[in-house]
Order: sequence, then structure tokens, then C-alpha cells
Amino acid sequence: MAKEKTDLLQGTLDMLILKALQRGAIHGFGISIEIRRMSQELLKVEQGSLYPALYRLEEQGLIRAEWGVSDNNRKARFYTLTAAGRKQLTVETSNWEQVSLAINHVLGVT
Amino acid sequence: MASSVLSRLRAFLAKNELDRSMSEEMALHLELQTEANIGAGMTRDEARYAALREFGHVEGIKERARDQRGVSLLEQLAQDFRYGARQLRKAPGFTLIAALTLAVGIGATTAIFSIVNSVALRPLAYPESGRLVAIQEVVAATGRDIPTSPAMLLTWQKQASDFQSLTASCVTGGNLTGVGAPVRLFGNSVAPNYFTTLDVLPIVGRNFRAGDSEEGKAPAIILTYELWATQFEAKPEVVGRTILLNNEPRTVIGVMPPKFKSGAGGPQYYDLLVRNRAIFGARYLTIIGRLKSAATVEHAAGQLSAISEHTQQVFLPNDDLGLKITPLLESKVGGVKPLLFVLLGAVGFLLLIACVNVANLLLARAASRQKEIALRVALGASRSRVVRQLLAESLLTAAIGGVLGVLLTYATMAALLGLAPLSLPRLEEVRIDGLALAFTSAVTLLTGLGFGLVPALQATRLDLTAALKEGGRGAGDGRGRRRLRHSLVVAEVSLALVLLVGAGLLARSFSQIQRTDLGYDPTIVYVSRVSLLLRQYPDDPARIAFADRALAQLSSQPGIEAAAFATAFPHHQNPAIHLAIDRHPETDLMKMPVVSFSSVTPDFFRAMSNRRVAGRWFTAGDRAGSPPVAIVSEETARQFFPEGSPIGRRVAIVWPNEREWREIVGVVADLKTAGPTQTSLPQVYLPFAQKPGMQFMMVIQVKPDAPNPAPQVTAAIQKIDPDIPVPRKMVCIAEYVANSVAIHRFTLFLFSVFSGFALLLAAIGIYGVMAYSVTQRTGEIGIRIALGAQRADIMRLVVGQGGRLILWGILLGLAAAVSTSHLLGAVLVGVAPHDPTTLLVVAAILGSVAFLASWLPARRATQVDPMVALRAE
Repeated sequence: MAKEKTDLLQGTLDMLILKALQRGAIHGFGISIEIRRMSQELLKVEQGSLYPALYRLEEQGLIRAEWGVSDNNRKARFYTLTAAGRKQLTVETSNWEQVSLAINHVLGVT
Repeated sequence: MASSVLSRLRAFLAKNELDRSMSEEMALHLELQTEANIGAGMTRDEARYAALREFGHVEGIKERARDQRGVSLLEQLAQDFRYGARQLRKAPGFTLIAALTLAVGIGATTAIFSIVNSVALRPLAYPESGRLVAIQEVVAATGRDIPTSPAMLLTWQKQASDFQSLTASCVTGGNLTGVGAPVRLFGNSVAPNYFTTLDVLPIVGRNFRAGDSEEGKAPAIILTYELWATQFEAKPEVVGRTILLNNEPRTVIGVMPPKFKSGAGGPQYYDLLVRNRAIFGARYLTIIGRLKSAATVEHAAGQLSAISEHTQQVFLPNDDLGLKITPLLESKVGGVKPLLFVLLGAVGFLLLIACVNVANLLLARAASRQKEIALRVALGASRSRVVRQLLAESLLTAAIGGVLGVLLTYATMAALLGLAPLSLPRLEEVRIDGLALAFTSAVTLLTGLGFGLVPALQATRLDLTAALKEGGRGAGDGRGRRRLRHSLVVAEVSLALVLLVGAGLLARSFSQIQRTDLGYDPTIVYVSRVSLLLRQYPDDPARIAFADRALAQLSSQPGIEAAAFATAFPHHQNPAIHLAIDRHPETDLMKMPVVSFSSVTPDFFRAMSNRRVAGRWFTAGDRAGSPPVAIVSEETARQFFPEGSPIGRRVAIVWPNEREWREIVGVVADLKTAGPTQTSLPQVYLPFAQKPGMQFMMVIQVKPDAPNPAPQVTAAIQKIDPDIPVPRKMVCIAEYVANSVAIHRFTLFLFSVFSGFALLLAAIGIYGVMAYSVTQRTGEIGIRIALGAQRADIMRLVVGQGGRLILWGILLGLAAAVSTSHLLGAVLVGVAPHDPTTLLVVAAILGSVAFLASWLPARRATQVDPMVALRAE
């Protein structure tokens, strides 16, 4: 498997998870697939980061987890955004936009 | 804050729950990934392997997830303690020495705090005991307190509005017969409202009530629990029964609860004060009051003083009396409080020294663990984490020390209390209670932090590369650490010096006390109380006849040198009485001097080997009907006959129904029968035959080296009257004297033990530091020897280094001792707190011991073989 590693800042990972959950309840594996898809296969979330992050976000009350049954009839935890999570996503998205704008300025991309 | 702690705790507890759900979730993830891989064309095994590889280390992920949820701190702490325990187990010698050192300090602290707490701090076992006060009238000129009269009490009771109630008691006693062998009991005669004032009522039977003191009825008595249990087998049917006290019937109406303790020599039963018009003005009552909840001690004192003054102006003009109101607790324990706090201070010093010693041990150990610590830091442990880790170790050590210390306290408390003087108030209440244990836990925690923090901070301040690169021994015992170790030694020496000075002063004070002239030889005089029964000895002639016959019998017994009776053997509870003196026109009772008096048989002075100063002894000729005579003590002569010899002058004991002038025929030396610390109370003696009593002391002087004369005395008395209770053992006055200084001996003993330990710890500390320093400098010493230094030079080098530290310690210690020893002033007798001899001697002793402790390592340094030392480098 190709391994161009892109390090993700922790805050960025949180944002990506929230973003992935925007479309509805999915389980952990689904989130990793979704992030890869959203980034057009550019970003790969390591499971070692994903699950701790999920538990942390749950603890922070940004996402909610429920046991459910997956497509292949397996027990799985499904995550959904909470209201706080939705709000956090908005804030982080705008932050991100500002930061990336700034970085792009610095790097002279635009 | 609280919620975050709770969440951490929950996370910690829910660890397993969390683990399970995460495992399940990750298993699913792996499975889905494997399926996806198979879909991409891999074989099942390949797919599974790839998924696993991609996933990474499962346990690590779980750990990180827990970390992110904030479980870490508690778990880290648990980890720190587990690791610390492992480290301590790895160095059992170090752990044992450190823990034992601390155990001595903590144990001693716990024991002394238990005593201080039980005696001086814990409220008395009466409800709202803070409102109870002792009220004493005081002779302004001498500061001596004197008993109060029923007349005064009644006036106060009527007029003082600050008190909920005022009550009184006085000492009494009696022979209990008809229940096994006759025994002598101590009792208190109390006012009817005594127990309601204290707010403690009998647990069996009832309290005194109106009508109990009516004539024609057997007087009521209430027993203490102890007496009920020991003499009456705790049978409830005793209540309501009639018992014989002094051969007179008494009705037992109640039993006090067990917590109503009176201690050694305290009352064993209570009866009601007798109403007697004749002694309405006599002073024999001890007053206790219960303040109203809103009243203050100061205000109440003012109120009572005003009433007293008014009363005195109207009836008995007297501006000589003051009034003292003290909280009851204070009045009971105020006398020993300074001593107790001095002991607590001493034990605090000991604990400090123990801490310093362990800190020094830790410093030495930290030096040898430098590599380990450097490695941990290099591997990414933060400094705070390493400090926490080291602190966990010292806290564990302290905890072990604390547990050992408390065990030590429990093991030695009984022995310690056995040594404690019976005169220590509330001794029977001393126990290691919750407060003492809480105090110990706090002390343990503080010591753990105290001795651990500095070495831990010191140990983690290191230059990584240097520490890792350099070899074991040289590994930077940096300048800072050396200075720290040295100042710890200085601190230890000076702390030990302060304690030793205290012990030295107390020892000098005690030897002063021991050397006091008592006026007699206490080791050959035995005493015992005798009570005659009114029915059998109804009048003076009968009593005099008894005395004559008994003394004749006693004197003829083998081993007895002299025998005498004295109505008051003035050791405690001196009966104080007013004395009228000729040529003093004073007729006002309240303005007359107060003396202690005793009727004695002619041989009394011989039995006490008393020294005659002037005049003659009493003789058999001083009988009823012959001219009334008296003998006075030197103190009496000094105070009341300053103008010359009192021989031939006349005095009168002012008894409620008598005022008979007596000629003074002799002056005798003062008898310090209450022990060497007693202040001389003026004493007046009358011939027993002219003023006999029903209760008196038998005073027996034995022949040299004769044993306790109790058997002969018993035989002699029983021959005359078998109903008189006789003791199985007579008390040697030396015991009274020893008891009277027991509190001083106790303090001295504890102080000596503490300072002995302090000296030992200080010596160990110095030895440890010097030995360590010699080991560190082996190479340097080897080079010096190789370059031609003589053994004496090396000796001087090492001892000089130790000597400087010791000198500093002694100088600082002397300064500290001089500035703190005045705290001992209250408990010192005949020696100044800054006694230069003591200071010098103590400094010399400490100096020599400390010098020896640094000389031993120095000697080893001189035996360094340069070849070996240099090769090792």
C-alpha cells in the first residue's frame, strides 16, 4: 500500500472527524474511509489516532456514540454529532479557513 | 475542579469498561479493513496481516485513549507509588534505616501529642465543659489560694447573675466496713447541686435531692463507677442498700457513670455537705461554677469580685483577698501545661533531626542514582514527573516510618504512662485518639514532603550529558549538593544542641531539687492514716487513751525506732487555720494570718528527726489540764515574730468554737513534707493530748535498714482495736517526696531520651556525610598521599572539614538555645535558663561526639592506598 504520510495536527484530526460525521451516524471504520474519501485519498487517518480522538471527543460532548448493528450485521459503535459538535465544527472550519489563508499568504501561494 | 476530579476518578474506575468497548470496536475495525483488503484482491491471510500492520499497537492506542480522557494523573500516581515501592524493596537497608529513623521521630511525636491532647486540649468529659469554671479566693500578698466559706458561696449564689449555678465540694473520707476487709475510702462532700452543675447524673439510681440531708435519715451517698465495680461487684441492688461508713449507716442512692473519673487519689464516693451553723464562716470549700451561655469569664469575675468586696465592706472589712476565676480545664491542667508543651517542642526537634537525617541519606542515595534519573529524563520523563516519582518514594518511606512509629507508640504507651507521675492530671484519660492519629498522619505526610522535596529537586537538576557520560563514582556530587549536605549537618548539630541544652538544664534543675533540705530523712519514715470511730471514741479522753496505748504498743515493736501520731501530716491538703497572736490587737478573723497546724504526740519530732531551733519539745507533761503550749516552725517565727524569739510569746488557733491562748515553747525546722518544691507554709504544732483528733497519721521511724513496718503496726493496732482498718503496706515518705517531683523526673527522663536520640542521629548524620565525602575524595586523597602528604595532613584535611561543620552547628545551636531556653524557665528550679556551665558542658559533649563521628571516616581516609585509589580512577 502506498504510504505518503501526512501528519495531522490533533486539532485538524478533530475537525476532520466532525466533518466526516456531518453527513450522519457512522462507525469508526466508516469515519476513516470517509476522511480518506473527502481528502481524495490524500489523508490517511491512523487508527492509533482515530480511536483515542473519538473517545476524547465523546468525553468533550462533541459527539455521541451508540451501539448499533453494522451493514454486515456486526455490533458497532455509531457516532453522531451533538449540537455542541456542530457548533464546534463551524468555529473550527472558519478558523481553519483563516489559518490556511494566512499560511497560503506566507507561502506565496495566492 | 471537583467535576474534573470526579470524571478522572470515574474514568479510572471505568477503565475495564472502556477497555472492553474499545477492544470490541477495534476488532470490528480490523475485520472491516480485512474485508476491504480482500475486496482489493489480497488473500485472507495477507489482508488480515496488512490490516493489523496498518492498525498498529492495540494496547498503546488504548493507553493513549485513556490518557486523552485524563485518566493519566491518578494512574501515573499509582504507577509512581508502585515504582517507588519497587525501588524501596531493592534497597532494603536504606529503607529500613530511613523508616526506623522516622519511626522514632514520629512515634515520639505521636506519644507526646497524645498526652498533650488528652490532658491539655481535649475538653473535660462534662457537657459544655467550656462553661465550667473554678473560682478561688486568693490572698493578695502571697498569691496563695484559700478555700471559700459557705457564707461566701451562699452570697454568690444569691447575687451572681452570670452563673447558671455555683456549687461546692470539700474533701472527706471514711472507713468502709462490712464489705470484705475494712478499707479506707476517699470521698468528696458536695453541695446538692454538684452533679447538676457538672451536668453528669448517676447511671444507676438517682442524684441527690431535697430531703436527703434531713436529720434522722441515713445520709445518702453516691458511688463512683470504679468503687461500685471493685467493692460491690457492680451489682445494681447495691443502690438503695445501707452500708457502713465509719461505722455509721449510709444509704447508697446512685452510681456515677464510668466516664466520671477522678484519677489517683480522687474521690471514690460523694456525700452531702453537712449543714452546720458553727462552720458557716469557715473556709473549707472548693467552688465550681457553670456560666450562663452568654457570660464571659472576665465579666463573671468582675461580678463575683464586686459581690465579695461589697460583702466584705459590710461584714468583714478586708482588702487583702483577691478572686481568681479560671476555666475548669485550665485549673486542673494549667500547672502541667508548660511542661507538656516543652515536651512537645522537644519532640518536634527530634522529628526535625530525624527528617534532616533522612534527607541526608536521600541526598547520598540520589547521587548514586544519578545515572538512573538521567536515563529517565533522557527517555522523555519530565522533571516534574521525576520529582513526583522521587517524592512518591519518600512519602512511602515516611508512611512506613509513620506506621512503625504508631505501632511503636502503641507498644510503649503503657510503659510511658507507667512512668508518668500519678499527679499528672487526667492521666487516666490519656489515650491515642482519632485526633492524635490524624495529627500523626499529617506529620507523616509533612515529613515525607519535608525530607523528600529538597533532595528530589536537587537530584533532578542535572546536566544530562555529563551525568550519563561520567562513570558511577565521580558522577557530579556538585558544589550545590555538597553545600546542601553540609548545611544539613550544621542544622542537625544545632538542633541536637538545643535539645541537649534543654536536657542539661532540666538535669541541673532536678539535681537542685534533689539536694533541697527537706528538714528530715524521708527514707526511714513511714506513714499511714488512722480513723477512729465516733461511737467507740466519743470524747477526747477516749482518743488520748487510745493514742497512749497504741503508741506504747508500737514503740515496743521490733524495728521501730519511734512512733507518733499527727492530726495532719502536712503533705497535701494542709488544713489552714487562722492564728491569733498576742500583742497584735487584731480581732478580725479575716485579717489574721493563715497557718497550717497539726496536733502531734511528743515523739513526733523525734520520729521525723526534726531539728530543734530553740526551746523544747512537747513532753508527756503537756496534757489536758496542764498549761496550753504550742511549737512553731522557723517560717512561722520568721513571718510573724520578726522582732525576736517567739519563745514565751502566745498564740491562739482560732477554731470556730475555741480560741485558747497557748505559750510557744519551741521553734523547729521547717518540714517540707510536700516535697522539695513546696513553698514553706508556716506551721504550728499543738500537743495531741491537749487537742486530739479522730483522724490522724501514724508516723513511724524505722531502725536503719529495717523493712516496711506494716506487719508490726498491724499487729500492734489490732491488739488494741481490731475494727480499725490497717494498711497492708505503709507508705514511706520518700515515696511522697518522689511523687512530688515525679513530674520533674518524667520531663527530665523524656527530655534525656529525646536528646539521646538526637545526639545519636546527629552523630550518624555527621558520620554518614564525612564517610561519603571520604569515599568521593578517595582519588584526590590518593594523589595527595602519592605526592607526599603525611597521614596527619590527610587527617587534618578530613577532620578539619568535619570540624568546621560541627563548629558552625554548635555556634548556631548555642544561639538558638540561648534564644529558646527561656521557654523552659517555667519548669526550671534553681537554675537559670542561660546557665553558662550547662551551655559549655553540653557544647563540649556534643563537640566530642561529633568529632568522634568525623574522626572515624578520617582514619579510614589515612589508610587509602594511593596505588589502589589511583588505579580506580
